[in-house]
Amino acid sequence: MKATNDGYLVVASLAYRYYAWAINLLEQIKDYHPDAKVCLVTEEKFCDGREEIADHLIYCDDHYRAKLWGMANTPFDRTFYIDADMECLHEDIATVFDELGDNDMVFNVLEEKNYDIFMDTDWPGGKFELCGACCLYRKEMIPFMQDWYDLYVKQYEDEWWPTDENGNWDWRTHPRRLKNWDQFTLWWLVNKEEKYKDLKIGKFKENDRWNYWSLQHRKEPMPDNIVLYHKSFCADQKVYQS
Amino acid sequence: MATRKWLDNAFWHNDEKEMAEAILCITDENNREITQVVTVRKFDVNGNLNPDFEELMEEVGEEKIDANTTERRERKNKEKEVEEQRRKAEEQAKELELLFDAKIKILEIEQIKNTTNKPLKSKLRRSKNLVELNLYAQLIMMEELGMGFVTNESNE
Repeated sequence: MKATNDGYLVVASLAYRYYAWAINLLEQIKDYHPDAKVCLVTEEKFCDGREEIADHLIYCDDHYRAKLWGMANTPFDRTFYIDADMECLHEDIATVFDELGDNDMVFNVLEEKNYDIFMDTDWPGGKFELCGACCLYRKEMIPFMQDWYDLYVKQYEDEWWPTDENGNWDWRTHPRRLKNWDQFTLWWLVNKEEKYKDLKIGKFKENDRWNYWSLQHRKEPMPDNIVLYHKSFCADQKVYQS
Repeated sequence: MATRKWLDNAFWHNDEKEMAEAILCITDENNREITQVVTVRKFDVNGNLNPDFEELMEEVGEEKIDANTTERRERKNKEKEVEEQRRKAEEQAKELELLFDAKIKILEIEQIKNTTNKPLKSKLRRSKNLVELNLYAQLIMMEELGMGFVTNESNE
């Protein structure tokens, strides 16, 4: 039977601009899908009344990756998490839960055609494939999201890193530059963690539609049917630095 | 012994086929190879047939140069098209990024932030360019500030 408690989750912490972007995104989702249930996870200090757009409001702290905590605290049975720096441009946002199929989670993939706009793609020990910018998941995945958050916190605070055969942190196989990436934690959990080896992880059938990067747009005309447009702020910094 | 060889990628500069661009490869007595790009004219200033041109015709041939010219023209046109497309995409992307920033700023204006006119605010959020965005922002401000709306004669 089709689950009815589906909803969209957006997290805005750390800086007010994320709150402003999140409100814009949530309002856009409701513009295109008025029946959508949306959840905003944000810091109480940012709220200015506009948070009333959210059907669920959850206060979080100012952790650099409160987004992972927010994903673990979803009030929905099936959740579509979306980064706050994205814009919703299409009514097909209402159909996103069809993408879940019988998967536990569905992610976008980092396609090779866009490697030039990503900050990091591969290293001696592995290669990023899944993109954490948006993610569709079932409530059964909440423990996974909690593990993702907990392990990331340890990674970020220098309490965890993969070890080599001598039990030392293996910076050679997994370089230090990856330390701040929650994507590395995701990569570790889905590729190296025994208890998650049987997870059914799907990919969006039309990858670009669900996470079209603004820097990608700078290289090619944007198709008309893009659902989610992603401001490539991080990648932008890479371009501006180079 | 020194030798000369024209590479077979020469192409015409003009439709009259009186000027070609070609690469001449010279090997000197010490076996050193010198490559130079040469614009080869059919006639010299006195109207005499240029021996380089004759040599190029003998080695590479008019037919091959015709084919190179066509292939090059098509390739250049395609490159130009791709570059043009890329440039347009980049402009559109930058415009969309500006639009996003402007929209976020506009939505921070107290009257617009708190307006209860949802249809107008929704139109503002869906604006496709800065002009449209500003127009909707103005309409909301006029309404919020009690300045009313301008109606044309057909509405009166």
